[in-house]
Amino acid sequence: ISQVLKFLPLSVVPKSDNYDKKWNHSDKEKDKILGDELKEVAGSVFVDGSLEFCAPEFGMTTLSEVDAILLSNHNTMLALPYVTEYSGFKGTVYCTEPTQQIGRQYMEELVTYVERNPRNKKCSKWKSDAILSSLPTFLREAIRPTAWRECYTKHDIQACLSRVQTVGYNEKRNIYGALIITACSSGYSIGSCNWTIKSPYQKICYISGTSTLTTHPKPMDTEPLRQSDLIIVSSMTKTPGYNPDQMIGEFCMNTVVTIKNGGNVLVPCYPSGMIFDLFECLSSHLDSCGLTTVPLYFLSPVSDSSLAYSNIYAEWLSGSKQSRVYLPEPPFPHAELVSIGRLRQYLNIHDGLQNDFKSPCIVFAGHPSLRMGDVVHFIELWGKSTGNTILFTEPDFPYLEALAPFQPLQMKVCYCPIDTGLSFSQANKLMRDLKPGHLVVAESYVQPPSNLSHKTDMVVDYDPPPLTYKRGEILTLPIKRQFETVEITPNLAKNVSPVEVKPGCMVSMVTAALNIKDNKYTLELLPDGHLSGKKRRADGSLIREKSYIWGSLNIQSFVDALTRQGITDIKVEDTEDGSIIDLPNDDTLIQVEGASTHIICNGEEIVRTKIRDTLLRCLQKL
Amino acid sequence: MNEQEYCKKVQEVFEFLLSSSCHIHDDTLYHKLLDSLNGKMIIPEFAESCGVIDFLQRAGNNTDISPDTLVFAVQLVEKLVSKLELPGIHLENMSVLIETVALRTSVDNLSVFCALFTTMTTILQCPCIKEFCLNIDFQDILKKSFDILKEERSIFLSRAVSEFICSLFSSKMAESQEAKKLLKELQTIIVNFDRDGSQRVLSPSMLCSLRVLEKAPHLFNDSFAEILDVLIILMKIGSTQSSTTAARCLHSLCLQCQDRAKSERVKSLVTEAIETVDIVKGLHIAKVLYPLQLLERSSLENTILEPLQMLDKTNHSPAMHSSLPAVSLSLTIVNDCNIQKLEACKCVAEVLKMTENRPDDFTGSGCYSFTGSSKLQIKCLDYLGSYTSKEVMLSVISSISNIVSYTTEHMIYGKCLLCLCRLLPEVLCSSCYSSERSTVKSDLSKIKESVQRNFCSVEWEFRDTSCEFVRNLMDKHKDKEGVIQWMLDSRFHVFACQAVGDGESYVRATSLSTLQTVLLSSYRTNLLQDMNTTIDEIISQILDVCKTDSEAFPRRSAARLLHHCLLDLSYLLHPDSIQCIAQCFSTSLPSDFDWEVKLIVVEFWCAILKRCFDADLDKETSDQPLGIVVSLDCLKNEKDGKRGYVSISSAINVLLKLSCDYDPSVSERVCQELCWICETLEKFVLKISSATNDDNRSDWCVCAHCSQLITELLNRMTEGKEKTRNDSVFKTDYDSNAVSLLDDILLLDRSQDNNDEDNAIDCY
Repeated sequence: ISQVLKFLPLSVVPKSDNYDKKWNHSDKEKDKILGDELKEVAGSVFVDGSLEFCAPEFGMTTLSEVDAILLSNHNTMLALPYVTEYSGFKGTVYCTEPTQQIGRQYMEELVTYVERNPRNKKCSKWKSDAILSSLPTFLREAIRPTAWRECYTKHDIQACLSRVQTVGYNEKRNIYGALIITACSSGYSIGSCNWTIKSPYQKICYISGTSTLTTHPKPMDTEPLRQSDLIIVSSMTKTPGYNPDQMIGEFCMNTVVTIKNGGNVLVPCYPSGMIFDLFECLSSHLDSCGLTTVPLYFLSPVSDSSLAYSNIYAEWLSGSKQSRVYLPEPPFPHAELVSIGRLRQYLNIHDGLQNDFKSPCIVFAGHPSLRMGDVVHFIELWGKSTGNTILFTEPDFPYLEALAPFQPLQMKVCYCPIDTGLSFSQANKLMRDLKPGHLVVAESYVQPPSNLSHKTDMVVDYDPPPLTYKRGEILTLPIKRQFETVEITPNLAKNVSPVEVKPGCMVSMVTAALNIKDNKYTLELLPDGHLSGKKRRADGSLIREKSYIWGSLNIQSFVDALTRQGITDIKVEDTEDGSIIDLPNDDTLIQVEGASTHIICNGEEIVRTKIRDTLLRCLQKL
Repeated sequence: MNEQEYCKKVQEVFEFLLSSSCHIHDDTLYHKLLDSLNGKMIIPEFAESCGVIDFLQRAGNNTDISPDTLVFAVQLVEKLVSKLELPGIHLENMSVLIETVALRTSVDNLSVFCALFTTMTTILQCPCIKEFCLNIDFQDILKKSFDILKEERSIFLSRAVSEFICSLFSSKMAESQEAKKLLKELQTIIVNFDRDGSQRVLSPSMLCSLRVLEKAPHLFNDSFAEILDVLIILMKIGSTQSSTTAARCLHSLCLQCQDRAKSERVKSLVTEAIETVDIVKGLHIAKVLYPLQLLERSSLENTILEPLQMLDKTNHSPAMHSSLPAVSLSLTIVNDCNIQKLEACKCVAEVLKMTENRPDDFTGSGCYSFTGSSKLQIKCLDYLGSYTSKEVMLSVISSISNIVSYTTEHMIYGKCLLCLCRLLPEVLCSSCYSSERSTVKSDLSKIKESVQRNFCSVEWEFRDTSCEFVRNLMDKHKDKEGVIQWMLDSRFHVFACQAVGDGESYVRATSLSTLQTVLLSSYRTNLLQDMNTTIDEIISQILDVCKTDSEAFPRRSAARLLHHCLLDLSYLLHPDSIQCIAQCFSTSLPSDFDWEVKLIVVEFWCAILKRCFDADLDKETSDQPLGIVVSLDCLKNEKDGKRGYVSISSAINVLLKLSCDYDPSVSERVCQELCWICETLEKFVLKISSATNDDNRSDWCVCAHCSQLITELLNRMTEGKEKTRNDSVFKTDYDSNAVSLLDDILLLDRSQDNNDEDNAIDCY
């Protein structure tokens, strides 16, 4: 979604004068082609058209052949309608119920923002290679702009969600008989999960958006992730240089400083997730600083459902939050804040906000990209005053780029990104604990982040070294399905006479038909017509029935048997690995070792045959 | 209970203590008994009648006595011998006890022997020591003590013995043959010290010998050369403790040395030793020698500052990492020895500069092992908080601005602010501050932002320290306009005073104290303007704190604030506010649960009364200071139609009520105050009837109610005096009734208990 930063913001209250300055290309020809697609604000160039979004790259795989999509959390769901509605996908989407609901809220909020204040002009001339290469860096570095699409619709969201099947934590789901998938808590957000994908003999875990910190969601469940052949780790923290604990402290501190100085605080945010922690920590800090009367305004088209849903998902929350339900109290303190009127939620700025508005205050509004939503209005309103502060807590967007179209900006800017995702040290510790056979991570995780190149400890470190993947690359996982479980029908089993070759291990010959259905293998009796008792090769020639010998040779019995065959003067010599039997009269040496027997016979063929037959008689047969 | 009964009870206690059934697990009872007896044994005869002498005599002969009782007996000897002039026969009894304990008790009884040698140490300094020693085998006791040292037993016992031996050579017994013999042995220990370096940690006997040498070096003159040799070796090869002990001994040796050549030799050897030893040990030695006059201070300063001067921030090799302990120690010594010199200051400021970045910051001027070191920062700031030369002032401010912006330790933050508070006047007046190119403005602006942020920190300690900073600025620099202006521009005063509603009680308390400082200063108008409030609104808020705050600290500060506001700012207050304050001090605060709040109430009403009385004594000044204090109906008549808000009779009523307070500290204080109040009232009121023509006293009331009040006041005061004289109030139960202690000890005597509890079966 970060490509929306290339566009001008969608003003809630249309004011064209802000973004009115056309950007002129130095090349007159190109400038003519471009028309007024690009605008210049404070030295930066933006696309003055309807917002476009980067859909998943469908070229990598044939989505119509994909059977299932596993969603880890609501953050990974925004592009789902593009997949389910525009790619030929026919499979099923699996996720937890909160992920589905919160994902729906995120998508609905996005669509509302885009549709509420539409910019109907579609700009595509700037995307042509000839022009793009001559544009300022900010636009030039856009990735595959021609593949960008307009936002999906609410109808798409509905259709998409109808393909979703919800699962509970640790609930086993069978995928066409081939695999069993299970979701287990990942501790990152309400309903977020890690996936285990199991076949009878292999286990792969997909760890994405995971947190080992204690916040509001149910803590991470590591037990199902153990004894994996392979673990794929993705969506670690986006801000490895920032400690979430410190950042939330900074957030609270900067908010209070601004309020105490008489200013207002603007917090661009998503409608769910971290915002619940922000409400809780901030209100408690405001209390401790004696600012109990400062109002908190929460603006989002889904603010009502977001606050309401958060308090009904008790079983998806941390232990402390769950225990509040039994008191009975709402699990989140924001319910109380709402009831006493300290936290007020509005669908948008026209939803009665002007009647209640009291300054100084703290406003939480979307969208964190600052390209749409009510936050745009508040930046335009408060941006000119040095007393106000905008506080960035969502790590998804580079804050300086997000602010670029609003420059020059007088309001104070604070960047306190709070990302509870796995840090490198936490990930390494977790992997040391889980001990997977192989680890697969993105290529960027095995080298320090580009902005912290001196931090050599900020890498995923594992033995064996992790396998890496990068964009556009297909990686073959070092895991093969070598074995399958095969069932035998009772009728067939009746005819089988297994022989115990070693304690607990029985062997038998069987001739049967292998039936494969829904990835289940069954051995059945051969159909009547095929029970000829003779096996044939593909060319029709008969295969001679042969028996399989097994077991270890008893030297004394063998010698006795040879004696019975008339061979005399047998000498037995014990060696390190077995025995050597010397038959001097027949000029023959028999070397018997653990796994092999050699008969070196220089005598007559008849002797060799005699020895061979005697030997075979001394061994067991199947 | 009379003296006879008391003595009888003491004897019973002694009987119990001597019995084999005595088991007192709580040794504080022994201490309390010892203190109690010590207080009562004023004359030897009393000791006799109480059975103390008999007890001590029997304790020596009793083999079944418990070790704790034996310790008690030995300590009792110490008290008696050092306090009383005992007759020879009693002294003999005590000598016998000491000798018996010393020679017949097993040394394994460590507590007994510790007590014994501590007692002996005290007795050595008593005038009767020679008499005391006549009856004991002093030689054997000294031998025993020396043996204990050599056996290297418990550290406590070794210390007690060491004290005893040291004390011996400064006592009257120093000239005795036994002492001389012991001295020779001590000398031998030093002279025969293993010089090959294998004995790095000193034995107790060696340590004791060195202590004697340090205290009485003249006794070791005979073997000066050998001892000097040993001490120098000890300095060079011994542990840090050995080196410093040797340094102290060398100093003593040098001090008493009459021969100039010898003295010079000592100095040169010490100088050479310091240069030879490793840098950390050298610093330890320098630390010991710096306050002494053995070597030139300048040369010692060079040694102390050497690790700091070696630091070169442009060339930090990995080897520098090893110097961290040396740098740390050097800073400790610079602080301890209070070396307030430019050179030292420059070095400390440089170290602070090297620590100023975050520990994980690699983007600054380089990374050192010192970067972000809180230990070094504390030491540097301690030093710079007491002394900063002008030359390094700006560098220090720059470092402080960096440190306060990221530190997560409130201790460091607090020290930074203390240092800043000291430097601000000079910084703001310096030419650099007005210079365009100087960075000091941006540094101060950075500090301003950090302090503002910390006023809103998640950790209450930071909020508290920030409030404290404002109070310090106001207290220390109220006359320095530049500093106050900087503070006002930064709005610190507003932040500090807004913290009255903070969630943490300590912060509320500090905020209230700061508010008091600001309100009582000439900058109160700025505060009221900046907070957009009135003083009466603030008073109303403070009254709420007094009445509703659940914690004592804020209530104390609030009460103090109201006290000062009423006394010093009454002319600014609305009459209703004055009325509310008076009411609060009359009704709510006197019943507060906290004794300190009640003490503030006492102080408040005393101050009010004092002003009232002073004003009456001096009519010239009566209008201004009296101000609000004009009674309505009692004790003092309404005067010139002036309507008062605070009634003197209500003041006296509150004090009378508090004089009966359950808390001894409060009632004691009120009783003390009642004395002067009564005296003054007597002057004004009680003599009215005999001097009715005196104009000065004509406005004082003598109605029946007032007379009754005064009579009650006088009675209470007399009662208080009586109690004080009897020394029976304001003490703990045991202090007030020594018999109860004896009863408690006797209760432990199970043999007297008829109920055989041992036969009872415990169901559970």
